[in-house]
Amino acid sequence: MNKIKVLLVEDEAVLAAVVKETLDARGFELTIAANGVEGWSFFNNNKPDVCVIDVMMPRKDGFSLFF
Amino acid sequence: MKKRLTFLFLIAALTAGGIILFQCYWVYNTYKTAERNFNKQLSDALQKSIDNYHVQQSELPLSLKSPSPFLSVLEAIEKDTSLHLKVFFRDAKHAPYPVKIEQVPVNPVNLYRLKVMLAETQFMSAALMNAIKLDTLKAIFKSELKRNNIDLPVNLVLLKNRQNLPPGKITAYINYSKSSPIVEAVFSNTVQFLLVQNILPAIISLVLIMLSAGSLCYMWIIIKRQMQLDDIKNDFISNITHELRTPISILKSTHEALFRYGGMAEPEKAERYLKINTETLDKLDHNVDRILDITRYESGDKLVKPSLVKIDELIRVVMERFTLDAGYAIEFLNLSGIKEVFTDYYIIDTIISNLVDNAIKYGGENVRVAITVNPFEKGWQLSIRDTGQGIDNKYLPFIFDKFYRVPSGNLHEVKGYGLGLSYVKQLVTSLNGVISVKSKLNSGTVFTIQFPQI
Repeated sequence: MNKIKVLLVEDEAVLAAVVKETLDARGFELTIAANGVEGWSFFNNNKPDVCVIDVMMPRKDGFSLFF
Repeated sequence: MKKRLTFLFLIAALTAGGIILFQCYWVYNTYKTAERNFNKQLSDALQKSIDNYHVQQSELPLSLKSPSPFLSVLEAIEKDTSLHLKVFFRDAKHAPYPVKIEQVPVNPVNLYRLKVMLAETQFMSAALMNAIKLDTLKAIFKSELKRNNIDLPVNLVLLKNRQNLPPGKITAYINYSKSSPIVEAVFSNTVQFLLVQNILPAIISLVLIMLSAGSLCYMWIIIKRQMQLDDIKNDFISNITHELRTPISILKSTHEALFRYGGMAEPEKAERYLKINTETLDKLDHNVDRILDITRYESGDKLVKPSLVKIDELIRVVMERFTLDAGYAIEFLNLSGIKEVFTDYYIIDTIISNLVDNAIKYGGENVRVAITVNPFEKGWQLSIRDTGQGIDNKYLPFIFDKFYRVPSGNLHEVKGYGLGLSYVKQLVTSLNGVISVKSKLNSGTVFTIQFPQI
């Protein structure tokens, strides 16, 4: 069975690492993007199944990324 | 809110504009009315001067000069009586007729008018009318003007053609004859005279216009300030919420990982997560301490502990903290020749650290920072200059406010509570110093702190 691809766009590295470790162990394939620009680039190249996006981030904020 | 305020301002601007326009129209109208009245006054004075001239220049009957003035009138009668006179005509075309002499008393109220009429009849001939002595008339006219409190240079011109007189000229006929020439009074500076006469209402109107325009500008400033404060408030709420939620989210996620997802079964993971929690709690603790510190300095609770501080040494210690690991470009120059200052070591250390930290955080990787100690007549001066992105001048008045961060919407390049500069300002104030800032967008910022004693 294919793993569910999750994109987590979060600039707080510690929080992102904890979430990744927990979800990876539960069968998700989680990728971290540290800001909106990285997140947008990953989204276009990989088309993840789920995106979890922070709002306040450097370079491109969550709302700009979403809309 | 912004739309409503802009609408309100537009209504106010229209009202104030209307008031200003009406004031201008009113002043113009008042001036025009005053001009018309003035011209009428001048024309009347000229006419009166001509009348006086006639009276002066003519030979009037002596009977009009007596205390009870009268006129002797020849009255035609039908029948000859013993008392009658007979009038003979020179050309002999008309038959002689009998008359009697009658004395008609003159009411003193009408005496002047009568004198004028009699005098004018003596000036009926064209030769006499054209021989009018303009200099004498001018002297009479000037004294008449003086009586009316008008002191203006004037010239009199005799116009023989009665037609094509442009309106608005000051003119009067020499007498009531159809062929009478016209005297025109030519003034210079009537506009200036009228302006001086009407200066008071004009000044009052100008003051009212200035007040209306000033109030409008002041209102616009207040509205803009209110809008800015609204932005600051919204920014503050979203920033502080985000900054407080981040550590809570970290604690929650590690807690859930340990509690719900079997993290406790892996001792290495549990230890790592607990370490993360300790660091997160320490950071929170530090930030809460900073808020408390600012409050204490604000209320003057925190005592300063001054000692002799080797300023060069202190600044080098702070610089090393930033240059050893990360290798940031920081320069130091002591131009004052001051080696030691009597101050609080910890406070100066915190001030410099905070300002250098800000310069590096907001300035980017290639930022250069220069710390300078300068001479200052009443003490010493510390400058921290950077080559970063600078701060827009419209935000400068707020940067020392507690929790204020230059608005950037949801784009957060640098994390923070907006406490750093507020804390620095409190520390500077606790040492009786003054902090100021100058900044230019895309060029950099310089913070200057002046301390009053060495």
